[in-house]
Amino acid sequence: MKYALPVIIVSTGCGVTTSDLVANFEVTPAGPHVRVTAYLYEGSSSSPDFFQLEDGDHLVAVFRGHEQMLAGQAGYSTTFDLDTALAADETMTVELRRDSETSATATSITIPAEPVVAPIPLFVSRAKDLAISWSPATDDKMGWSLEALESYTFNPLHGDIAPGATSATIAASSLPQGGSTFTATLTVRRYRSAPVDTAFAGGDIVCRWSEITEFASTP
Amino acid sequence: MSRERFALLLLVGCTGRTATSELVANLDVLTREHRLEMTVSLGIKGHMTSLGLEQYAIEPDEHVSVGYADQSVELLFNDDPQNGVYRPYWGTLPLPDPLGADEEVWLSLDRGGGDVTRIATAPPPPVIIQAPATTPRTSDLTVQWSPTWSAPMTWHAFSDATDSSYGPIPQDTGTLTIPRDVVATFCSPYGCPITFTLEREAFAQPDSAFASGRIDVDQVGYAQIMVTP
Repeated sequence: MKYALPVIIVSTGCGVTTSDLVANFEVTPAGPHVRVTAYLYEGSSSSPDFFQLEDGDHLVAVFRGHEQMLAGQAGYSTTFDLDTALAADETMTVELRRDSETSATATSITIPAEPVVAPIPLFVSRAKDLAISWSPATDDKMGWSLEALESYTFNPLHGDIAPGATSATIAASSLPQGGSTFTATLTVRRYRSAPVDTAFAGGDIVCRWSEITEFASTP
Repeated sequence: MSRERFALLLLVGCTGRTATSELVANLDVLTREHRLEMTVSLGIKGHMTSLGLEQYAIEPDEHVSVGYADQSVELLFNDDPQNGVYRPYWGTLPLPDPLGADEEVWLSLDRGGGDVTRIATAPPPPVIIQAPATTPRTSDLTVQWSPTWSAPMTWHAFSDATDSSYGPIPQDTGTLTIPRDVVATFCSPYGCPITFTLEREAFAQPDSAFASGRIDVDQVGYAQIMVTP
């Protein structure tokens, strides 16, 4: 009985109204590409279901005057190939265009400047503080994480970075001492978010840079 | 048996066999010293389980084979994890010399009646290591290799005395210097023999009749080094 209602809705052709949908959009720049991913949900916030696009529904990303359709099943996505490097604050728009229901075309976000992380030595001792720096400074939210996926002795660490900062220090006291050498992965993230079109029930659009550096973490 | 009843039985029999276009084929190739380890999975598209895609178990008249150059081996379905590792189809082949970049590795699914689907790719270049036979644990250790290639690499140092050490090589320049304070952690103060490896990985997604096909090849170079006090 739990699943009867959605089956009836689909089979009778009744559409889910846009105001019943929660939309989460992710914009991910990486190298010469920008990926856009969309997740649409229906139902209560405690037990949401993925919403599958219906006939006459289209998710479209608009960037630098070009339109690309998002495709997929549960998560919809598309990737823009860039001819020129991203400039700070370029705008990405994601639209849900619907023939039978209200469209939601006013979701957009500006892409923050890439945090270019200064090179880290190939071998870094856990006995010393790890200093990281990047540029340029912006007022966007940032954070870092340090992981060693194949090490049994290293629990992932993470921290926030104050807006406007250009450096951070991971204290040696927070790192496991002794042991052997293993590969560690440092990720510096910068992200910006905005609410989606008010035609939706809720959700947000997030743009996230992830700068990843690998090094050998030594005793 | 009537012709209609025979046709019905044939239809029922066919529906039990997953179409090749619904199979997700993966071949993982790992070069060991003097042998190749080859692991195959044949997932059924869209059938997720807690262990990943549900695996297709071949019928008695079907054959899964893998190979390189003039070597090949037929793999049988195995749904019993060994030492906690689930390898649906697994086998090894002798590798007297390093796997050459021109020695294509391949996976073949023969479903009988000439219905054969094959994916293949050229491996990345082998890793030929030049390392000292002995090195003091109080000195930096410089290792060189050839040829260089486009992909990042990883290094490992194994010994019986301590946990293995490993790290990334983001840029393949053909040389790596491990600082002396790291070398010192490979062994006790009395020194020990270590196995030093360098690994490069490449993958390909060749077009085929499978829903999708992926081949991962790990080329591993080996060197034995005596770390002295």
